[in-house]
Amino acid sequence: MKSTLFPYSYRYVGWPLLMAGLILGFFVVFFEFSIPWLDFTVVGIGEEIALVSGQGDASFPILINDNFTNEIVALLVLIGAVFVAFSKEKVEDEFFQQIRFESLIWALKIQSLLLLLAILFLYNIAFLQFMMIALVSFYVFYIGRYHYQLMKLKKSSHAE
Amino acid sequence: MQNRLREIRMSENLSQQALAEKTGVSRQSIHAIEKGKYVPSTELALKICRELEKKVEDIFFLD
Repeated sequence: MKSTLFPYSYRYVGWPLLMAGLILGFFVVFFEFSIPWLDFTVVGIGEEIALVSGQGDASFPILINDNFTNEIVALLVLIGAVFVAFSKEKVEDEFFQQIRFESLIWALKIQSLLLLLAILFLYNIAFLQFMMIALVSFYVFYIGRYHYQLMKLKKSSHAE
Repeated sequence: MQNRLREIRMSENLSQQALAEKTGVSRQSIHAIEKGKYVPSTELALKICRELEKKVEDIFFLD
């Protein structure tokens, strides 16, 4: 069966991107940090609630003044996480694919549970902040679980 | 499903690493199969049997 995973070397690019994105993202989400020279006027297809509610100016395209720090964070984390999560092991075999599958299911369950709790208990900006984190938290859960399983396996096989 | 992989591999003087290389999988996978933590696919089971020159039922059997 042909693998749809990225080559092993992608993780060497993925880890630095992911770590940089998570660290920068922490400051953006919790301390409203932004890099001043990343202010741009960009072309978008909507802003704020215009697209969702039909209120306000929803004409396309629309010019938006935006600081790109949060977009950079999202791109760093997303690209980094995808590269780390979906790059092959040195010897990728069916056993690793089973661990991947189990980790995916586990991460989806946790993500769904947190989303459910957020829907019930978080409102306004708190919910928006949660949803920003939720964009990437699935990958973090998946990567964490998968590597924890691998670590346990390596530990037990080294013990022999 | 249970197996006698460890016992048969040892009798053939093969390390986990050597068997892994012969069958094209990782050493961790061989270890997991021996520990009963992982049930291999039919293809991998047949490859293991071919390398150890045994019948499938000599190595793998139902509880």
